[in-house]
Amino acid sequence: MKLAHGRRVVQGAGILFGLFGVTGIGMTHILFPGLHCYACPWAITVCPVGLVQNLVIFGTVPFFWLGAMIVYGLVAARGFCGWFCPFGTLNDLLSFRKVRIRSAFSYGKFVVLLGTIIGAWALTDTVFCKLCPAASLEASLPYLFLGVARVNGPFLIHMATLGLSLVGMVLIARFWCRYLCPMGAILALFNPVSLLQLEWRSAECTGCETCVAACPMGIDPRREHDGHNCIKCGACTESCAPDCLALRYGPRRKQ
Amino acid sequence: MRRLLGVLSVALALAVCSASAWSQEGILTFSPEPAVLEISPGGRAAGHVAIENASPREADHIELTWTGSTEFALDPTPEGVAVLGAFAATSVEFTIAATRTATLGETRGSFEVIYTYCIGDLCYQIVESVPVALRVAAAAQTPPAVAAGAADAAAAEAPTHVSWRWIAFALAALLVVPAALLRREGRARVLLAAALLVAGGAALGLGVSLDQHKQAQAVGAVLCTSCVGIETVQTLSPRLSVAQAAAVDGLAKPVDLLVFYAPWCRSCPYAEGLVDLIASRNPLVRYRLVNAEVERGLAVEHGVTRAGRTVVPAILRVDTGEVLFGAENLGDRLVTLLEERT
Ligand code: SF4
Ligand code: SF4
Ligand code: SF4
Repeated sequence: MKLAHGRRVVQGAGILFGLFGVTGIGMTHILFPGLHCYACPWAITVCPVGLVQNLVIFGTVPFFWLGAMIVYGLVAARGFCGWFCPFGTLNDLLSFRKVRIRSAFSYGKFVVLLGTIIGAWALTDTVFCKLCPAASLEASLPYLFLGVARVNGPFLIHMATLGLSLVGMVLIARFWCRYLCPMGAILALFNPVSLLQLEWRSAECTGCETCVAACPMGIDPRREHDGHNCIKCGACTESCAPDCLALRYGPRRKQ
Repeated sequence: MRRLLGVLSVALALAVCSASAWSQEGILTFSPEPAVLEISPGGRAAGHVAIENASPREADHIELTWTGSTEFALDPTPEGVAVLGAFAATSVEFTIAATRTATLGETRGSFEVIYTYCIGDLCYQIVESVPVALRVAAAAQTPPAVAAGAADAAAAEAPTHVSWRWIAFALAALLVVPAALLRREGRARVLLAAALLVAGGAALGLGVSLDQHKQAQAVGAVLCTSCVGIETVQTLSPRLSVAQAAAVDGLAKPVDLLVFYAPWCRSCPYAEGLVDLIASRNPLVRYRLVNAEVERGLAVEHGVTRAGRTVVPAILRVDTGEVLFGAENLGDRLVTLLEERT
């Protein structure tokens, strides 16, 4: 099976996991390793971004949250973005135009993360959630059909952020994940130490740059394979004819 | 340079996160006295729980219940404290009764204390467990052991553990910075990963021991309508328009309502207040407040959950089973709900 097919299967599993509440299981203690709204009527997991805002408001020292983030970071870091996160999968499905990344803008996600936390602290409110496009899709819309939400100001704001993100995704592959996602920013911190690594063997590289064209995040896999923008999706590894790019799992480089 | 910017922003985020939570951390300390309760099977023992408020905020509705072994019970139920002001202290007297079959020897029990406090419009319910030591001895009249020293030590320790938590958190979080900066393969990466694994495991373990996993679940399990922006928060004091008041006065049949709320939900007080206003205008309207976190079963039974998620505030008309969610435009919606014939 090709890597891309395997990835679709895992992404499907991510969506199933995200919507596992249809089976009647309620909320569990698990934090989702991606951006998946806990307000989604069928969510069985807690959104780390939503939770940390609440913890900042409550004034809790977030040990459990930090521990979960570190574990997810070690297990796959942004590999969860490439392989598991349902909102990332939506980004993926709309990845038509793999334009090069604007590296400066890609720090936007850290700014969003910072703003999320400062906003929660300063306004004692979950400010990010009110703008979050994942919530627009996974909470606002379902609740409209379930008769809880009404078309009002906050609903329209959600639709606007979702609309803008969708337009962004169509024009720029993985737009949300590249530039804005605070969850992507958290996972990105662990990219260099994660057990899931993208490896580049320079000796075999012919400089054809097909990998650059293949990357949905618009980075140069040869130079930024362990940077904060690689989602370890493996698209570049499949495109590389001499096979000098590979995903590897484990603490050490294979010789 | 850009990398440095990224790291700086993250460090700043962590600093702000810490500072904010520091300024809002927990507010009451509880020390039961005597430190060891002497009790005989079938007998009773009295004591008190000293409560200290070390914060500039007021604590409300402090209640004490017994959650230890069923061989003991609080009898009578101790009186709660309605309000404990900033930097104030008080104590709650209690009497514990042991069953005749209570096992002899030393044992531990615990009180569950519940209280709320508010920062601005936002209120939190704190549930804490206060351990007490019991010595069950056949002779009832042994003088209580002198244990004031132990209680003092516990009281002195309480404020410091807060900063301990923050130091531990900061240490673990600091490990993330080199992780984010790391650019070389090799031993440094393996060592850092190992250190992170230990820190992550410890943080998870500590979090679980502090019941933070339950807190996470609670945050996810009950959805307040303003939390993810289904509507805006409603914090005005509830009022009825002239037309609404007239409609309420005109109700001729009794109606029972259940008002589902969560202690931390910001629009809930508005919904509660509005229903209370209506009920005080027209005694035919009766209502009961239901904490959706506690009585989850009731919420499920009455369809206050939507596809598995409990939504608050929610007002249920018991006879028709109709539910109103949220607080937006609630006056009109409530009047319509009340006016409907069965
Ligand atoms: S609104 Fe967004 S950030 Fe908030 S809980 Fe939902 S998915 Fe997470
Ligand atoms: S960047 Fe955010 S939305 Fe994109 S895949 Fe990662 S967690 Fe999901
Ligand atoms: S560098 Fe390769 S693995 Fe990383 S995001 Fe780009 S295509 Fe995916």
